Amino acid sequence: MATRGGSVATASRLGEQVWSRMNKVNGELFALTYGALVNQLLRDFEDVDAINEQLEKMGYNIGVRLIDEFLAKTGVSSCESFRDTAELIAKAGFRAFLGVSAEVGGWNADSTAFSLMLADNPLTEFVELPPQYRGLYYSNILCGVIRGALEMVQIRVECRFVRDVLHGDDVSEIRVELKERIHDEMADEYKEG
Amino acid sequence: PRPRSRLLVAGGGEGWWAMSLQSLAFVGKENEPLYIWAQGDEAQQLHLQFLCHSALDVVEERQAATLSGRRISSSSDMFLGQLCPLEEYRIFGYVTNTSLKLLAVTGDAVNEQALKDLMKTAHRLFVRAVQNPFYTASTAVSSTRFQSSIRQAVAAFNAR
Repeated sequence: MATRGGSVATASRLGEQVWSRMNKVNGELFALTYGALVNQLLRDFEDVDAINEQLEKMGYNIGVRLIDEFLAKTGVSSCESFRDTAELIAKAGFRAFLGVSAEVGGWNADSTAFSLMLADNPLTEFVELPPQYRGLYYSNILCGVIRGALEMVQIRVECRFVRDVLHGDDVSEIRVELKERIHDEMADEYKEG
Repeated sequence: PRPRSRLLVAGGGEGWWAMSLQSLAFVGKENEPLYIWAQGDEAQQLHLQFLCHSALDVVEERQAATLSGRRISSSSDMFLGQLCPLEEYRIFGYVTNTSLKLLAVTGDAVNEQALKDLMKTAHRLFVRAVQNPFYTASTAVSSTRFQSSIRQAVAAFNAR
């Protein structure tokens, strides 16, 4: 049954439901696997910016596939506004796949940009960033996931970390900015005259 | 020859004689030093390190003797007890089945059970520290979180 993406409460409830029905994997194994991945990237690329970009790309590939599972499991059809989209990502999406909810905040004047605040991040469970990797956004994969998932529902965004617990801040913050709503264009040969 | 790894030693404060635990050392499989906490000034610290080093031979003997045939099933098995008196100190050992060795140097007599608990805690903290993906195996542990946790645990122990 399709439900409209609505208030915070709805999103939270959806998230809880999906989370409870998901197959769980061991949190430590998850964190260690991701850590090994980042470590390998460090060996392959060495340049911190290149690694950030790679993580984002990987996230994008995950996101474009994850969105289908999310939509199927939650039964959400469409959101009325970008605000609803934000709540859905933070409360339902994060909760369903990571087990932790994020807070939405930092809306700009025309509601086209918001921030996701993450207090708890299962990816960074054992991580302590050494000083030479200051510029590394360890969890940048999450930015890619959001971008990839939204692109599949015709919303183009840009995501980046603005605060990170690993860099000493008290919460991790991902800034999500709406760039455009994608309208599927008909290919030329189908257009009339 | 094995490359010398850079060792990190953290120091304690004044009045060291009053506190029981003088030093806690983490030594790896190949006897490489991973982290040492020691009381006192530079000279004192170096001296304690030296003592730990000498005790390693005893640990190896004990490890072979205690564990031949038996499997380590709990931290009680890992705790070796007092290894040998050295000068005015006593040294206690703790070996894990990955051959991680913990050495504790104490001044006067200590509550063995409490020391065993401390070493178990230290072991647990170490395990957490090495789960950091940025830690390279068999190198010195530079995690600040680990170092401050160890300091706290030792302080708590010495305060009893």
